[in-house]
Amino acid sequence: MSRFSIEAQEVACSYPGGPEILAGFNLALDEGEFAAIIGPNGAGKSTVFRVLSGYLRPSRGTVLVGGAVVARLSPAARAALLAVVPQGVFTPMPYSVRELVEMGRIARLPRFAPPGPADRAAVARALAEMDVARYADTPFNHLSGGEKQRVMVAMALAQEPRVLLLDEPTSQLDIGHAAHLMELLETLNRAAGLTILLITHDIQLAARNCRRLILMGQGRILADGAPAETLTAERVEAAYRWPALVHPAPDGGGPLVAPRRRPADAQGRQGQGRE
Amino acid sequence: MIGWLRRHPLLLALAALPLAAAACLCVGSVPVRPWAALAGDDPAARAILLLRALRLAAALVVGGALATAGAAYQAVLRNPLAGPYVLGISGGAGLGVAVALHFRLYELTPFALPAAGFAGAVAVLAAVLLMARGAGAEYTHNVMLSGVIVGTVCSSALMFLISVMNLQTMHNVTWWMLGNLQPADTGFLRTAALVTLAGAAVLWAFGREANALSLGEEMAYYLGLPPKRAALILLGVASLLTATAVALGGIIGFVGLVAPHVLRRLFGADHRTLFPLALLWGGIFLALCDAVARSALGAQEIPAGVVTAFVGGPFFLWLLNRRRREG
Repeated sequence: MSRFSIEAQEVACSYPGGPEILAGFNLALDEGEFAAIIGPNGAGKSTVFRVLSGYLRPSRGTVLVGGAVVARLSPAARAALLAVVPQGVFTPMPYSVRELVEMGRIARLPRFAPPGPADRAAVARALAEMDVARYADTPFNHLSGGEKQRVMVAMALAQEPRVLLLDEPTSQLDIGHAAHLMELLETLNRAAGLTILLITHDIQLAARNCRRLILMGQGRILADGAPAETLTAERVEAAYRWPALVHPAPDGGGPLVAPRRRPADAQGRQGQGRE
Repeated sequence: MIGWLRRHPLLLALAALPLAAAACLCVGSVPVRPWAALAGDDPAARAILLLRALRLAAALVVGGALATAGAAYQAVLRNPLAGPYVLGISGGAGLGVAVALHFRLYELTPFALPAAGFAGAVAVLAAVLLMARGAGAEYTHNVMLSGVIVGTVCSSALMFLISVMNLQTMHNVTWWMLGNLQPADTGFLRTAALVTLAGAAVLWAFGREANALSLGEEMAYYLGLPPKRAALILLGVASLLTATAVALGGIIGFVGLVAPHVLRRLFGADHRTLFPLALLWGGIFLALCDAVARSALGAQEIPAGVVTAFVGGPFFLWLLNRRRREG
């Protein structure tokens, strides 16, 4: 099997009537990587996802998924290569967890066929991998935020994709649920070789679990490399416009990052902006 | 037993259908025993039975079409308040009929009123889809907004026509809109039944698309669908079903809004099961309501839409509260 990759080449992109969010944007993700895009609000992180998944057509440049231009893939072929867990999916319908995860199979099922053994196996595996098998027959809306998020990831896993994109998967989760999810993702990445790219505001968690961090600001990549390389106090401060503490972790994982408390006389000027 | 029925909801619906049909044939302003009328020679009893059977068939078609369409609208527009009339179909149909009545088109053919209602509904649908065509990512959102706007404009035009009409025409328009399930023409009933069955079959075939779209267009895209095309097919077919129902029975409220909610709560939300269930139970519900409508006050008929709201409303509230206490 040839090595699979996803690649944005010289991509420019804007929303109708708006300024360019991305310009001359390049990013390549190799098979088996576990990477995170971090960066301040409005840096263009979500736009990168929409472009990589083909949901948003770039005005210039191309996106290649497994060597094929994403816009030319059939919807079903695209969904078999690439799964996305967007932020805050909502439905008014009282689906059970199993019904939701089965929706991950839509692109693989012939229109009139019921789910077969392979589909049921994929759904069961996805439920187990995300540690939600015991909720299979529970209504989705009865679950807590952490469980819901794992179900959404399970739905994406049921697609049996080669690459998984997650948009702020831990933003609604407490520290325990967030660490649990990241550990499950790390296991998937190591055991099954699934390529994973996530967007997050949780620098800490990304630094400890991902092997590659991509720091974005104002539509471009500011730094790209192993967590310890990407995360320096100067870079974090420049990107987020806030002084940061970056410290090596005592257990040898990725560095610990925290916002620095500013001296009392500087705090008084906070209301006048961060500049 | 209850668990088994929940797992096989279609069997339950298929078993309930003949029972409900038999009950509907028995009641009315004049009591008739269906089996006695069929066996006996009384031509009056036979004639009454035939009228009731036609009316029963119309109620099954109209109720089934409205409930199935309502389920599709609620899924694609992701709005629990969406019903068959959300895209302005009722306004368009009413306007079509008012125009037909105003120009006395019914003198040409008995087919004129339902045809005019259908034409009005389809014209509104075309206008709505055309208005929303340019919308990119938020397609369904735009369809709904356009539908509400076109529907409001149609209703205003209808109000204008009613205000300048003579009293008799106004009365006719009002009565048509209140709905009457006694089909004037068996040929039209047959066509409407075929359209309804075909439309429900298409919706069933696109049941998985409805499931995915109920998570939003973006999620449907990620799951591997062309979301806009799937939404267009589902909304278009649901609107054709609604237009057919309105042309056959007038504007009957409540079935299309509430039946899908009740069925989802009882049997789950997967649209591959929901669409056939809505077709059957929507029809049964409207047939039973119509039986009440034509027998409750003796010879004086109540519009079927009034009964659907009186019966369906409290039942739905009971179900909603029961579930809330459980969960």
